[in-house]
Amino acid sequence: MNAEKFEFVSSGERSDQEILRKSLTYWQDAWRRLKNHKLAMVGLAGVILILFFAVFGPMLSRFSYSDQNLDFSNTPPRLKIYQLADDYYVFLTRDYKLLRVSGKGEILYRIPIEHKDPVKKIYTFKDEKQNMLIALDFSYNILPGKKADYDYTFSVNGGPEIAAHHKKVFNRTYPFGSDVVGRSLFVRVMYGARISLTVAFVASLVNLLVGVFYGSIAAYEGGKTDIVMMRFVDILNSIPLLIYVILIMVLVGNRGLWTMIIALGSVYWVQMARLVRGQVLSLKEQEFILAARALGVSKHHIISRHLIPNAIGPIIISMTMMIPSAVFTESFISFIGLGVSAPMASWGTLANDALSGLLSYPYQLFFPSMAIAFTMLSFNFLGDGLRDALDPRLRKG
Amino acid sequence: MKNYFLKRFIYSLLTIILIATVTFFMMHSIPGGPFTREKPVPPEILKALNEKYHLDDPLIIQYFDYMKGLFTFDMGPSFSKIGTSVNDLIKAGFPITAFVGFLAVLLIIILGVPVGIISALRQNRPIDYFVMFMATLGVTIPSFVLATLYIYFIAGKLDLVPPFGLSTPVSYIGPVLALSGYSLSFVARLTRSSMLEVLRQDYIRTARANGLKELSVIGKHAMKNALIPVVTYLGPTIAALMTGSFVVERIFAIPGIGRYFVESVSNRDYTVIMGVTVLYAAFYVMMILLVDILYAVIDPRIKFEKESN
Amino acid sequence: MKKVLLMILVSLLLVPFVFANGGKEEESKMVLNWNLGADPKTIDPGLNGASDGAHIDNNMFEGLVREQAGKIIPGIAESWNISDDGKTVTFKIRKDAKWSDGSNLTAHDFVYAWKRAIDPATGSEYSWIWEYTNVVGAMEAAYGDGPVDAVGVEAPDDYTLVVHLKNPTDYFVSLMSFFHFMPVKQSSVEAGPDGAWAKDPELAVSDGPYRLTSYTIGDGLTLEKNPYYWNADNVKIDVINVKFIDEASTAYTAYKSGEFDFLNDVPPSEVPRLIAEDPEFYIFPLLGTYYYNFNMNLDMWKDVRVRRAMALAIDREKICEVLAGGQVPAVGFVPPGFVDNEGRDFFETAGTYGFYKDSSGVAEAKKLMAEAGYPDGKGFPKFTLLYNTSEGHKLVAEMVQEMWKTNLGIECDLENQEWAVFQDTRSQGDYELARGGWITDFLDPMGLLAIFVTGNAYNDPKYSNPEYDALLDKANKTTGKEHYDALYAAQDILMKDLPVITVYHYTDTYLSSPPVKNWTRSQLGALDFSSAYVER
Repeated sequence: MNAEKFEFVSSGERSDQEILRKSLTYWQDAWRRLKNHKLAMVGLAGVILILFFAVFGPMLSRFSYSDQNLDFSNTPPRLKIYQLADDYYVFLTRDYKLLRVSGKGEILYRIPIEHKDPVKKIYTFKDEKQNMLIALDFSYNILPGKKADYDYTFSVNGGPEIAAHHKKVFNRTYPFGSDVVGRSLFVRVMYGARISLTVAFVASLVNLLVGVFYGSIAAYEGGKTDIVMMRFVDILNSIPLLIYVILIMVLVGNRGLWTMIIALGSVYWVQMARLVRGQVLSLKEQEFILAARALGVSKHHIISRHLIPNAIGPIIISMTMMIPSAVFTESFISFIGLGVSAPMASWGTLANDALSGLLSYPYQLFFPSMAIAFTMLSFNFLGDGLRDALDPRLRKG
Repeated sequence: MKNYFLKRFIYSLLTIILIATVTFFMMHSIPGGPFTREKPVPPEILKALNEKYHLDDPLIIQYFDYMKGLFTFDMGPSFSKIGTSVNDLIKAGFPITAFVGFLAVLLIIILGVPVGIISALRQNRPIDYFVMFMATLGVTIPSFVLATLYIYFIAGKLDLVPPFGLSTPVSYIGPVLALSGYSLSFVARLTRSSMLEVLRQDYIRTARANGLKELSVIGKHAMKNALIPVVTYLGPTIAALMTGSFVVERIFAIPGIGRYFVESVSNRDYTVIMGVTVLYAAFYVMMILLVDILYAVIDPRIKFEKESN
Repeated sequence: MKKVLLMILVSLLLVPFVFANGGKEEESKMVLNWNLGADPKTIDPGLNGASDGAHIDNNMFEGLVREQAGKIIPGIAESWNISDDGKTVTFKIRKDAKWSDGSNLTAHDFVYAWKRAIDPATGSEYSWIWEYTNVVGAMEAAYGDGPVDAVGVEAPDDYTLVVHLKNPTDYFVSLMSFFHFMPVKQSSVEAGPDGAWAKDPELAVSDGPYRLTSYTIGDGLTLEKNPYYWNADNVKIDVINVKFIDEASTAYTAYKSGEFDFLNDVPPSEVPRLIAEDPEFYIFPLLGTYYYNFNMNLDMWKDVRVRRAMALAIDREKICEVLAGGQVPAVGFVPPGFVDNEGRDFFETAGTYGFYKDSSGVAEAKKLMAEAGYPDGKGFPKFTLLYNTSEGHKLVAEMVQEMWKTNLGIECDLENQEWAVFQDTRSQGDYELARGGWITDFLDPMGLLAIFVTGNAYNDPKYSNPEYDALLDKANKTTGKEHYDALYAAQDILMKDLPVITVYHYTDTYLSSPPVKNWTRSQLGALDFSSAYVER
């Protein structure tokens, strides 16, 4: 072999071949991928926003979650106000209470009823201090022969009838409206976030820790272990939840949020366990597992490092999709008596309370539902990103 | 494999018995009984009533009496619908509940799965976002809200359907929608996510590279594996749907058995509680077994038994 | 050929008229569509204990008398006679009284029905009411302390029913309108044990204006005019379609769509609007009271000033407004609707005991609290208010909790329990302040006041005052002025001792569409369509 046929590589060329990028661990790589996933970042921002409101939201209002004002009950977030005189505006609630409001939408006080005429359908209200006698005529479209484009008119101190409303303003006192005892829905939704988020977080944690591992162990072991483990799951799934909750209530008594979490957590993980078992049953027969076993990787390692990460897709999707179910199960359990006691409320409780007045006061359901939906969407987007980030098959580096 | 499933079948029966047993004893350990009333019945009369229905026998005797009855398919008399047997209650209500449930299951399979697949194939396109959004809405809006809004708008304001009951074919739309809403959304998203995973696999790339038609790639190769989580989810869900939802049946005034799941507990109607629980358990256990059989069909590699060393 | 065709054509044109007439006949049946609310546990009058069963029984059966809006009118008994000492009541049964299967209804049917209802072996949940009937031997037999045969009721002949009472009892005759005392036919009852006969159109034999023609579990039932009813000529409705929809909002939507003519339950959020706008919305007083029990065995409630302060510090008017059911703010324990011996309303006459409907009593409450040693609530222990799971109870509890906090500075926790657990806890006295509710079963204030007698099974606060006991005993044994004087005095004592805080009195709300006329109800709350008609 002729020596001239070989050349020394220069240092410049050598350094070109070096791997310049650090080798990333699984988690570092996952975080890198997550950051780049735009939708996931939006989701993360959403979650942080909700957390922020949960912690600081109630401080934005002068009301606490339990302050009641029975005169101002059931006011919507948007008020149709009528101008009766200079700087004198009123709002009529659906249950025929008359409230004086400021032109900007701040609720001032309730104007007491002076006289009711049920036949002619005229209610008379008297504001002593302002010397106003206000007659409300709501006979239109109710009494025969009185059809009109409007449902009611006001007349002050015997003056002409005012049929057109002045304008629609936002309810400054209660941005989200008030509930049946005049509490601020805004504060209650923010407050409810604390409870619902705690429930969501704990439920998801239980899902992850208990459900995922239980299901993977059952599937990996197979045979009798699998049969027995899953039958236990079957029993847990089939016993009536109501009886179970009552039993806990009787045995332990209500110690607030924690007893509810125990009740919820103890049955919540079964769905995840089943899901993961299905995935692992399929995965464990694949070649890479066989390879890992041949290499002598420990059972624990195979499950936690190989099987679960490859099943991460359905796990994350299920975790996020199950959160509303946790929220509503929590409200059901609290309603029975185990969990937060009135007047504390979670989103689920607020939604439940709003139901009886749904047809008359839809906004009472709207805001808690929106909160749940918004949280869900954020977790969903974040979850999608997490799934892509944690999927070992997408790993680069 | 066949031996395995025979073993499983026997275990399933055992499970139903276990569920019945646990429920029986739990039920008797909470305060109150079938004769607890707002105006408590005087003790002497309570004693007479309990004697009449053998509720004063030692618990273990009551248990064996009940189980004996169960094996002869006699579920005893209802305590809250005096004079009617549990068998009659279930016979009257179950067909109605099951039919509505069946329609819901059909909807979920026929709509949920294809929508999920399409969404996965058109990932990040408008249709995908639309489906994701609807699915999120579907899981966040609880069935009672959906039901109440439906009755108020479609039945009340628009007068397109009867406001309650199942008198006409169109009246099934509301209950089926309310019942299936959550599961439909869950299945759509699960299918989509599962499909996405599978589509990224090497063997799919291989199949495509080999020139296989797209339909064949999706239909034959991708779907089978993607369906495992969906099948897992659907199993118990079908059992739950077929035994009805308390909320949906109450709001739509459907005379099925879904209501009994909650009402019987509040009323401490022991025999009805046992009746519906055993019914649900039977369905559920059957579906679980079916799911495992399906696993083996979908993915022939799946083995249930321990490896022989 | 043309002629034949023409004839065929003309006859074809006439066909619709044949059917039109047939259709018209179908339409000429008077039908009432009514939502009952829930599927009744039972409609066997002897076994029933619930209001939904009572509604059906009041239309399907009839007792010795019928009570409509407080007025007693003859039912199966065309007249009755009370002996001078008040201890013997003789009823004359109508000779034309019949069962819906055409057979004769006699006094023996009443004897059978009553003895059957009393017999502990039957397991009637309402047999405790016999204690208040004062019928000789009835209470003892109901509690298993005496033979059923010793009950003081007999039928010397087919058309005479004689009842022997321990003491003269003013309200006895009106009590006979109650479902528990309605007759049942022995052969029917034995054909379908445990009340199964009453829900089976083949077996159900009744004596009222309507009879049962169909029953579908969980769905509804149908009542049709009973041709053998003694007053059938005055029954105008032919068919009543009864449904069991218990979701009030669904029923209300159906009512608005015209599917129902009558509802006996209305969603509370609609009520204020209905009160103002709808003339067909009715509110009737239900003779009962919603209250909170003090656990009188606890030290914290020993000072009557504290109890009175708490009772004064709540604004009952506002609470009733929020509940939106037309409820009446309570003062004493006896609600409006009872008439005393002089025709005055007991509630109005009893007075206010220094309480107010609204928040006018707050100043006095604050003063009392300070006198008791807790100025502005400082130092008063935190307590727990217990109620059973329900939207309504939660609402009232939240309101009073806030009112006590704002007005008196005292704090309490709210706890709710599932209702059977709650019953257990409350009757065992394992609470500090617990919600209570009571509705009377017979038209006398005693039906309410009697529960606070020492040792009474329903005396949840465990209140004991021998003076009170003596007065109620006296009321039980007397009639007329003596009876009511004792009751007024008893309530005076109750309102001075305040073992409970009364909040409001119950109401029944009904919606009836304009074509439905002449319906009525008993004071105790059972609907009566016996003389109603529908004018479409």
